[in-house]
Order: sequence, then structure tokens, then C-alpha cells
Amino acid sequence: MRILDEKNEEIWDSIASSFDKTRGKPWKICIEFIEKLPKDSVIVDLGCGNGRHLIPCAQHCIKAVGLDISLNLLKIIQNKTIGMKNIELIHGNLKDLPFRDDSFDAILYIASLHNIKYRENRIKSLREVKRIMKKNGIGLISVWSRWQDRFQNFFIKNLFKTSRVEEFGDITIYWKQNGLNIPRFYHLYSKREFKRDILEAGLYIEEIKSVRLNSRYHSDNYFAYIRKI
Amino acid sequence: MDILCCPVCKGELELKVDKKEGDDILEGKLICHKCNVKYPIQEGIPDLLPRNI
Repeated sequence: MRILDEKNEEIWDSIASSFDKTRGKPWKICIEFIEKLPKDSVIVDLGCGNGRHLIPCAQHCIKAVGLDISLNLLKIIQNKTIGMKNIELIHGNLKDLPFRDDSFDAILYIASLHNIKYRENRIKSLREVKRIMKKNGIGLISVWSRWQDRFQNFFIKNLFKTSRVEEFGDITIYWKQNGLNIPRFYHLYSKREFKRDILEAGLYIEEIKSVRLNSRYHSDNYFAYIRKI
Repeated sequence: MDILCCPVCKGELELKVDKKEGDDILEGKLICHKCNVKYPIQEGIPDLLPRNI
């Protein structure tokens, strides 16, 4: 029997096609990272979603591997990439990566780490990232930030809660689809915590950027440029 | 294929091909003998999610 991963599999499978419709454009910061890679790079996109960054990876690099928890999202990519021979799609989870040690020159891990519940699991995932990277390999990891405009009030109120079962930063964010609200788990990061978790996994941080993509006042994403030393 | 391993024990996987189209493996299995698990490949996508043993 398969272990259902924090319901993430079920949730992302159910929203796959409407998610795909709203996630057409790749992020510029990711494209810049991909285009600077040597052409002979083997890259993996962890939590590749609908492939908006995986496809540019395959257009630029010699080989691109995409891993996602949602088979429905992977099938959406499969339909978009018929005839592209250098793409491999893997159905897997972010904590137990099915890749051998020292496999990749580069990794992309965009907006997925924050969907893993419990800090120990997020660190486990980052340790796995280090394991599968080649020595001197580089990566770009991004997470949503806790203090962005739309969630700020939730967390300010949450600061004063005395009893808390969840970790501070945990939040349920709903996906609206056909009149239904589908709950998705997020752990929204502070910049300090993001840095701490990456370092704890033994990865080297070259730079952390705070970026505003949709938020008006406060940065809504953190991007870490990492290296395996 | 040369970069894949068992998600649990990180050991080698044996590939069994059931259906092929050119170089693409459409249906088959990736077998971890150590964990005694067969990970299926369906419609060209390997399912390498950990199993509850």
C-alpha cells in the first residue's frame, strides 16, 4: 500500500487542471538561473507542477528531470512535451527522493518546500537535495514569505495565541474551484528561518533574495541560491 | 534510468520492461530487491512513492 503524503497527493491531483490554467508563465528569476547554466547540465525540478520551469530547463540543458507528487500534473506536462526526448517525469515525494547520490549539476526547487508539513520533514527534504546534487552543483530554492501583505494579519493575530498545536508559520490556503474551497497546507517562512533550515541541511548559501512578485508592499517570496560544497 | 534508485533504501532498482515504444519505456516495473517492492511504470511515468511495508 502507498503512503498518502499529508494529503498533498490528493489535493494537487484534484486541482491540477485549474492550477495549470493559472500557472502559465515561468518566473523571470528562474529563467535567468536556467539560462546561465552550462548546456551540458543535468537538472532536476523538484515539485515541477505543470512544468512551467521544467520545459525551459529541457530547452536549455542536456537533460531535465521533473518530480511531482501529483500524477495529474505530470500528465499535463507529458501532453505539452510530446517529442521532447530529454525530459523524464517521476511521480515521487520531496522527502524521499528516488535519485542516486551526486546525480545533478543543478536543482530547481520552486514554491514547494513550503507545502511540506513539519520542520523535520522540510529539513529531511533539503538533506535529500544535498545528497542528490553533484559536488559543486548549484540550485535555486524558493518559498513564500510569511509577512507578505495578504497573510500578515493572520500571523500577527497568531502571534498572540497562547495554545498552538501547529508550527508558527503554518496556514491553510484555499484553492477555489467550481464553487469549492480546497484546503492546501502551507508553512510560510521568515527569511531567517529559511536560511536556518538550508544551513541545517548542510548546504551552502551564496545569496538570499527577497522578491516581490504579486505583493504590493512586502516581499512575498524568498529565493536562495545554494551550492553543494 | 541510471540516476534512479529506491526512494526508501536508496538501493539499486532492477528494470523490467513490459511495453516499449522506441527508446521510451511505457509500461514496466522498477524492482527494489532489498525492500521487496515493485514500483510500477505506467504510461511512461515511474511511480516512486514510498510504500508502506
